[in-house]
Amino acid sequence: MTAKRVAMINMKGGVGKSTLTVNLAYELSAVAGRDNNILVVDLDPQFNASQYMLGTSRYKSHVVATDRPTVWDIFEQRTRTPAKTRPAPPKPADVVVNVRSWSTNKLDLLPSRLELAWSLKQPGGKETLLKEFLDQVEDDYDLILIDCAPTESVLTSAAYYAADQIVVPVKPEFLSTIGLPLLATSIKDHNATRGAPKVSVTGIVFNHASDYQPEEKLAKREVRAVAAEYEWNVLNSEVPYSRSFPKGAREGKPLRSTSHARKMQKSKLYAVAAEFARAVGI
Amino acid sequence: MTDRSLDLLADLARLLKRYGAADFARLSAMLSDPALVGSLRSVLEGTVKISPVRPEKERAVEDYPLDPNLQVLRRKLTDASAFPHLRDLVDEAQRLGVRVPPSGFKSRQAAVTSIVKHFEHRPQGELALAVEKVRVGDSRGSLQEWSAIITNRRP
Repeated sequence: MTAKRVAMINMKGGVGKSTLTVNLAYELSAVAGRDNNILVVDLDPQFNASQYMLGTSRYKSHVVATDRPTVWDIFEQRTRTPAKTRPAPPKPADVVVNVRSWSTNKLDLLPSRLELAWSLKQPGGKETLLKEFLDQVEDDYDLILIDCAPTESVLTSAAYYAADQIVVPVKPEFLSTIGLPLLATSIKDHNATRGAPKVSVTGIVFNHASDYQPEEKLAKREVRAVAAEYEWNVLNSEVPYSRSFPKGAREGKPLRSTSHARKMQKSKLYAVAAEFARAVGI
Repeated sequence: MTDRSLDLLADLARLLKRYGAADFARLSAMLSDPALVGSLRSVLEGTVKISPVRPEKERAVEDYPLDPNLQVLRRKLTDASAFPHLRDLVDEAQRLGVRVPPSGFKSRQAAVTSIVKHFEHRPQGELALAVEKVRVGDSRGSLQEWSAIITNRRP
């Protein structure tokens, strides 16, 4: 198997990228009949996906206490420090944390930490390091989901190099829609870079949708218009608004495992995952 | 209307269904007398028994005469935060190479016992590896704990 590599990107923050990434990872690995091997790459210095998937105790034991390498060490593998006089790329077995294992498959995480933000200060020559790392592990997974930071930076470039497709979570509200032209420009610039592998948008997925307020309907129409302009697909299924998402993040559970999550919302998320899987080709 | 008032209303609705509208109407007039309510309260407070506080039953794990590694294994497996559902224990058993009966385990306790028994007669090295591999309980952490992790970052 060779993993499909999908970057979850939106230049706008707060659209629910990390929450959706983690929930899609669970939907496609933990649900019976969807026994995919999945790696989530936390490419955000805010490390929300790591917080969600590990909780403090596992984050402390896997990252803090053991000083285990994280995605930051992948970006700084060539940086020379007094303690690291012979820089070397981190080994996958040292960086990747197993979050859940089942008899048939697993869900892993490449965790992040706040210090990843320091890599933004000296970004030169770091764009391809994540891709080189993922090349080593792609045969272990069906899907690699990259949870990106909402900024145009070396981290975004690294995601473009590392991913072969992009999925854009969009919250159906005005400010969220403005991130789309920014993303289109960013992708265009990347694809025009000499030697850079071309990336394309596989789909836009509406996140936190209730399909109720007139403002939301207007925002969706605008997104569809922008998507048509760039020939981007918009997924028919939408991730519903649910109070169980933040509850799940606090408890470290996907939406479907939180108590009192409504069946309708679970089934909508199930449908999103199914359409997402078809779209990305797993 | 407060939440407590709503709760009371819900209780009253249930009682109304149980005793019927006629008795309810008769009693509602009597209950408007604050003296009656006061005397009812004093009668109830005088008759309610408070259950004696029983000492908490000691956890079986501490009494279990087992090899220390087996005890750790057992303790980890009985951690409900790591294995909230029976299915989680079944998955863990399969991951550890323990045979799961075709009909599955009947209870969490049965699953834990089967896994521990499986390792009772295995070499110590294999047991130690199993102890290491078993998932640890996942304290999700509070904002304070995350703050500590974030602010203690490297200089």
